[in-house]
Amino acid sequence: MVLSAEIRKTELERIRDNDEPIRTEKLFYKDESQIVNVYKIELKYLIFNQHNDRIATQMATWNAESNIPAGHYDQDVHDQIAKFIWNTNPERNKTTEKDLESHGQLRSGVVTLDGVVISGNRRFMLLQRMKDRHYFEAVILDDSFEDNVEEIVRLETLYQYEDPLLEYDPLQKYMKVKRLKEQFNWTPEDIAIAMNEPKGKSEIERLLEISKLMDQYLEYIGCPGLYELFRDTSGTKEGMLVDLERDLRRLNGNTTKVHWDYGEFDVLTLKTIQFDVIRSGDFVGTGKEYRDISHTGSGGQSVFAFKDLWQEFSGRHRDEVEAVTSAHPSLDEYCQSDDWTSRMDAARARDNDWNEKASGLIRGNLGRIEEQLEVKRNTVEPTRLLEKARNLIQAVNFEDKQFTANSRNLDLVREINKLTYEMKKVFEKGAK
Amino acid sequence: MGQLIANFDEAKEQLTLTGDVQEAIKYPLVRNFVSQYQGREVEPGKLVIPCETGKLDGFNRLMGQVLERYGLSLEYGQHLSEALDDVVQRERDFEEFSKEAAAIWRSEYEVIKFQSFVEALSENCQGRTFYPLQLLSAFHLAYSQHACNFSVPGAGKTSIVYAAYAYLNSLEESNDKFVNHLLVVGPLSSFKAWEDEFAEVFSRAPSTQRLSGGLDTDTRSAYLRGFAPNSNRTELTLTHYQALASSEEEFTTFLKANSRRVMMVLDEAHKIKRSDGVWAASALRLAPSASARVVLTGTPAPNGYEDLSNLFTFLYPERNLIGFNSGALSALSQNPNDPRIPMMKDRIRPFFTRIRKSDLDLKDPIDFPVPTEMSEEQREIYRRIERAIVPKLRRDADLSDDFLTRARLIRLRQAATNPSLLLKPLEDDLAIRSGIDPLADIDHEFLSILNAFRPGQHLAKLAKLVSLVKELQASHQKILIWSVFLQNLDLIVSHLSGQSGWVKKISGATPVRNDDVLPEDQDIETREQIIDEFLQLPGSSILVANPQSVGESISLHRACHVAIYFDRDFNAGQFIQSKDRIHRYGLKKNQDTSYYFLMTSDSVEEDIHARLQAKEERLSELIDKDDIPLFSAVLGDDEDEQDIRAIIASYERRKS
Repeated sequence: MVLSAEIRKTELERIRDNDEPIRTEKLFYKDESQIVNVYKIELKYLIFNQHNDRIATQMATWNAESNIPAGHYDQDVHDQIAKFIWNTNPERNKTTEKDLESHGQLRSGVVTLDGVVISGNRRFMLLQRMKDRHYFEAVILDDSFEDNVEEIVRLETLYQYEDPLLEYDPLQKYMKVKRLKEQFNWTPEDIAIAMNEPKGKSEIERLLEISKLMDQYLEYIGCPGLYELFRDTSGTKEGMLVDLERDLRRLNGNTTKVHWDYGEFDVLTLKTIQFDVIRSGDFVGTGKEYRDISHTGSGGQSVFAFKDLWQEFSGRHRDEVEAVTSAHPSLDEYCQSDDWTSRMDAARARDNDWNEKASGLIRGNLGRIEEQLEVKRNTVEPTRLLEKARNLIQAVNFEDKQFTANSRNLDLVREINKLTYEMKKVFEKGAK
Repeated sequence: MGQLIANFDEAKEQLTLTGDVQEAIKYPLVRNFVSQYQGREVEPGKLVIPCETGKLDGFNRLMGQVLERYGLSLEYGQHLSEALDDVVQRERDFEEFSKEAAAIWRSEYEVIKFQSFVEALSENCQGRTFYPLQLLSAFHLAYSQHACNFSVPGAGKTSIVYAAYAYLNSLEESNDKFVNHLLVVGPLSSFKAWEDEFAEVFSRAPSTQRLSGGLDTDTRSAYLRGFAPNSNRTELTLTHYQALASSEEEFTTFLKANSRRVMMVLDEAHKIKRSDGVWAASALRLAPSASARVVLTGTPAPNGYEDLSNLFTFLYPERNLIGFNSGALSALSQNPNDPRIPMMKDRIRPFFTRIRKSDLDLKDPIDFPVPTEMSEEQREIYRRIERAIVPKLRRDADLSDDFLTRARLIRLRQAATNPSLLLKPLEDDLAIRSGIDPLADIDHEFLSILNAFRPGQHLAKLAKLVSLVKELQASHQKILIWSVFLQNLDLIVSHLSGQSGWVKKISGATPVRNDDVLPEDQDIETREQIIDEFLQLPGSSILVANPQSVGESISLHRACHVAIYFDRDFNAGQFIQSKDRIHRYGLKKNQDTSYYFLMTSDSVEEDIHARLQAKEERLSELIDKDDIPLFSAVLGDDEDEQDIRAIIASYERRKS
């Protein structure tokens, strides 16, 4: 049974004011570095931080499908979070569990005055699973969670991102920047500092753009908030969203090598088609299709780079794939059609269903255009290769003594000479 | 087929779609469009999409295209708000307006309107009589409110802006077109010309404020935010592109102030050509807040048609006037026969005017090459340098844009113009990466030869200059001398001072006037003071300058008709700009203009002369032939390489 915030707070205040601290720690909070006490706190007086980044997509998805009001916390939520945290990496959790059993808690956690665990949620979860452990060792902050959300989140962020080399769930950072922007309206500079982002402001802006695309994608497929849909058999769909953000940025900023007068409408069409491609498969399987459509180099040799190919391709996409999409039942309709255990299951089944109908059409359409794309690419290819060859030849230092010292060089020069002579002949024949 | 009904709520700035919304929203692109613009279904069958009134035009067009993809029709609702009505009407008006603007430049206009324009000018611009094309160009600008002027340097673009300003300023305050302030963004060197021209055109001193680096941020901010004592008394504000970018927020406040209706002028506007540049971004963001917008440049597309993109976006931020994105424009630049080029030019033609050099009716200037033989001392040095450098140029000819090649060329030119320059390290006065000086490990013997070189005794060209100046001073009071090397400027000044009266130099280091110069700094002469003295001082005077820093934006033609080039480099653009300083509109009909080119015989200076002549010829032809001259098309990518080839060829000739 989760205790109320009031009871938790009274107990933590009591501990702080009366109990003997077990050690001290250094903590950077509210812009200053301080030495703080660590106390033993009975587990029942603590709850999880439901905004824990590690489980952000799971929580957001669960909230969206079960309509839990924001901030609500009860035993169900508590158990659900414990399950989510365990499932993020059961193997690693088992190892840590063994470690806790043999060595006890080595790193202290941080909790708010009303018992929300800010740092150490995973250890807290594991301790709860263990029958003979009843205490969590943690620093107690002066504030309750709601009293100083912004500073507490800053602290939480500092702990979660203190080691830039640590591997995160790939979706986690998008959820994080989105939250910091939406909840506190922090600037990209502020976020970069808080998240210890070495690339700074511009990287945060990029992450924010991608998180916007994620929301638009879910909206587009009719499953807003169900972030878990970005996970697929090979990991997540993140890679394609990263590519899409870059393509759109280049197209909107006019920095591609696409040489036709595309407009906002064409970019919107491209985005829609790429959403379908992203929906139609996992990153590993769909990467090539994705790149052929808009992501070759700086966009120079993709379908989108050639106006005629693009119009043919996008026209057929409308007639075939979009027809399937428009006729596809909505998630609500789908939920009612069967006895699904969760909305998420229904959403997955709905996506699979769409895929069965649409992904063959997408690949077929691309297959039909691919040959023409090859031809187009081939017309550009000789020029590219010749330029490369010329540059390489120009790099040869032929006034150097070493050049003539090696007779192999003369053979090569003759060979090259013969080749270029033959190429020239082809032109002369063509001119006649 | 489904039908949607669109309405617009101007107060809430939101677009409402009703009708077959449920059907429409099933279509992928419609769905994506709605989510991209954060639209939502507020009740079944009713979609609300936020949209700023200012962006309704583009939004409406995009929405039309999206719905058309699925054969959905769009009807403007019965209780259509005025805004949507305006959209439709504005489109029609704009088309009509474009046609009329284009007609003006073809001299097809309503005579009465033109007459009232001319009358307003004769009343308000008593200090100046405009020539017919200037009048027409100003009329076009006043009519359009937002326009580009791509006239060649020396056509009097500043006067054209003032004429249009005078007319718009003479309108009733209630008139939409009324303006009462000019904000000019341009290089520092142009500030003086704007002030002088103002005084001349309006026969009164301008109340002006310069916002440049010398002004501290607080003062600048106070002025722009409107609480400096002179904030509301000033009529002309001059600033440069950096300031615009660094104080963008303050400029927004300035432009939006209730009491002020600003005509914003981008002078030398090719400076905002880079699509991702910071200056460009600021100028484009500020554009919508200006009541009238003017773009001035003689070279609208220095690298390609893609350079035009920002200029026309500045004029009409909400419209895609040019109709091609930068990618497509750069494709056009690469293929001069692309049939879409005339189409593109037609689209922008209503929005720019251009006065060509041939329209100015100026008497052709006369060129006098002045070859000078090297002294024995110089010949010894030059030949050594040439032998050390030119063969390397030949071998590395493909590295024409490399720093090393540039460094070698500079050394070669120094040996030809004044070998004592060779003693200074390159990075001293030239922006060259250190560590690549071809003379870095010079031998001891050569160093002593260099050390023994005395320009006063051994530089024949200097002696020639002194005698030429003496000769010219018999008939000319004002002489302008150009050199690209800073050290040469000093050498010339020190040699001419004493024997030729007033001699002063202007280089990049000469400060531009600041309004807030501290009293103790007042003895430092500014560029403006020097130019004024040069032009106004009775008797003979000589101004020595380098084209890098004063090549654009100053006019000396009223008093000075002869220029001597002590040395030059291969930069044709800068060379032409510098020539235009004394050969521009305002010259008397029969006034002769002469250029003297000092050249060291049998040296790279002869190659420079030949190459500049060739480039100038091609450029001038193009500038007069084409409305949007593409310099890259005439000069080509391999121009530097050809410069080098010319050097190598004449070296080979001399050797054999």
